[in-house]
Amino acid sequence: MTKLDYYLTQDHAARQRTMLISVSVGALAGMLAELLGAAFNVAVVVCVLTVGGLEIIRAVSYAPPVRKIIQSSADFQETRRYLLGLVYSAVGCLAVAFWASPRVEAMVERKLREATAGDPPYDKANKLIKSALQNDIRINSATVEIVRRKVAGTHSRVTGDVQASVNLTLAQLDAYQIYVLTGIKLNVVPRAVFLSAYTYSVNDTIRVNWGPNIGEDRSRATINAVDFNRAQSPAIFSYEGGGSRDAFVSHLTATSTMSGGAFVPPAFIQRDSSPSKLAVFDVTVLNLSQALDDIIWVNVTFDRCRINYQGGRLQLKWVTFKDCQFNSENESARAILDRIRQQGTNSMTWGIP
Amino acid sequence: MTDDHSGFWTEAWAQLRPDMLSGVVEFGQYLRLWAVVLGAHLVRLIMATAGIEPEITKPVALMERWVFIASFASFFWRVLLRLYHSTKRPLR
Repeated sequence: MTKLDYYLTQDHAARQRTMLISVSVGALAGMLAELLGAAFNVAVVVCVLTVGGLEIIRAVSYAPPVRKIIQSSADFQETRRYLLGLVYSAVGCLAVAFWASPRVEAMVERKLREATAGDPPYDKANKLIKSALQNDIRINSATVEIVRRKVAGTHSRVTGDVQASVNLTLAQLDAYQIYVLTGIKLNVVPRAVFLSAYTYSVNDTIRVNWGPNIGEDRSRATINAVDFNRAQSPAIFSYEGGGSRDAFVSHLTATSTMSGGAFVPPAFIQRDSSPSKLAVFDVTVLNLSQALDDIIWVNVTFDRCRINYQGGRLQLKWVTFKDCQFNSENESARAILDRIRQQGTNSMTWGIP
Repeated sequence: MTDDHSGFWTEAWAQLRPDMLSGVVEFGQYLRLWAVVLGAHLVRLIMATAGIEPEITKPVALMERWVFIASFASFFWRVLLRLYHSTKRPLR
C-alpha cells in the first residue's frame, strides 16, 4: 500500500484536516479577491486554484504515522465511527434545507401580512422586503401579490410623506418580484410614481429621471399616447440620467391612438446609454413600437407592435408577441428575431435563467 | 461456473471496498461542512427576519458563499485526485 493509497482510503482524519485547511484558505482567497475588487469569475478561479493546490500538495506530501499502519485492524472501527458521522450530517443537512428554511420563509410572509394589515405608513414592511431581497429569502409570489393589492388600495386615502412611503412599499414589492423571477437586483429609489386605475391620455413623452412607475392594475391602469409627433416625442416613457439608480415600469397597459392618416406609432419606452438597469414588469404594450435592447422584459405582452432589435443585451422572461412586425438592420439580431417569430404567440424566455 | 463468478465478485468487492468506504466517509465530512454552512444561512435568515440591519448580515452572507464555493471546489479536486490515483494504481 503506497502512502497515497493509505491517505485516500484509510486516514480519514488526515483528509478531514486537509479539507478544513483547503476550504478555509480557499474561501479566504476568494473573499479577499472579491473584496479587492476582482470580478466574481476571477475570484472563483482564485478560490478553486488555491483549494486545488492545497489538496494536491497535502496529498503528495502526506506521510502516514508508522503506528497507524501497524494498527490497521483498528482502522475499521474508525471507519465505522466516521460512517455514523455521515448519517448525523445527512440528517442535519436535510433538516436545515427542507424543514427549517421554509419555516423562516413562512414567518417572513406572516410578518409581511401583519406589517401591512393596518393603515400606512408601512415602514416595518419596507424594512422586511429590503431584508428579504438582500438575504435571498423566498416569499411566496401569491402572498406578495395579495400584499401589493392591499397596499395599492390604501394609496388614494393618504397624501404627502405617507403616500411616498406607500409608493416605496409598492416599488420594493415589485423589485422583489423582479428579483425572484430574473435573479436581477434593482437599486430602486424612494421617488416612485403610482398610477391609479384610470386611462391617462398623454400627447408628449414622459421624461423620467430613473424612478419606478407603478400602475395599480395591468388591465385597468392604461396610458394612451394620443397624436404623438414622433420627431418630438419618440416614446411614451424616456429614462435619462440614471447614475447608480435603476428603474422599472409595472402593472399597466400602454397603447396609442392617432386621429387620422397612416402613422408610425411611438415607442413604449426608451433609455439612455447609462449603466442603470431598466425593467418592464407585468405590462401590456399595444399598437406601439419598441426596441428590445438593454431592457429587462418580465411578463410582458406585445400586441400588434413594431419590434426592433439591434443586437444589444436581450433579457426576456415570459414575454409574448402577438401579431407583431419584427425589424433589425443587424444580421445576427435578425436571426434572434426569427427565433422569436417562430415562437408564435407562445410566451418565451431568453437570456434570463 | 458459479464458483468463478463468486470469485470475481469477491475479488472485485475486496478491491473496491476501501475506496468505496473512504469515499462515503469523505462525502459525510463534506455533508457535515455543508450542514454547518446551511446552519449559518438559517441564522442569517432569522437575523434578517428579526429586523437586524442588513449591513450586519452581509459578512455572514459573504463567508457562507465562499465556504460553499471552496467546499465544492475541494470536493471535486478530491474526485479528480481519486480518479487520477486509480488510473495510476496497478490492479492487486
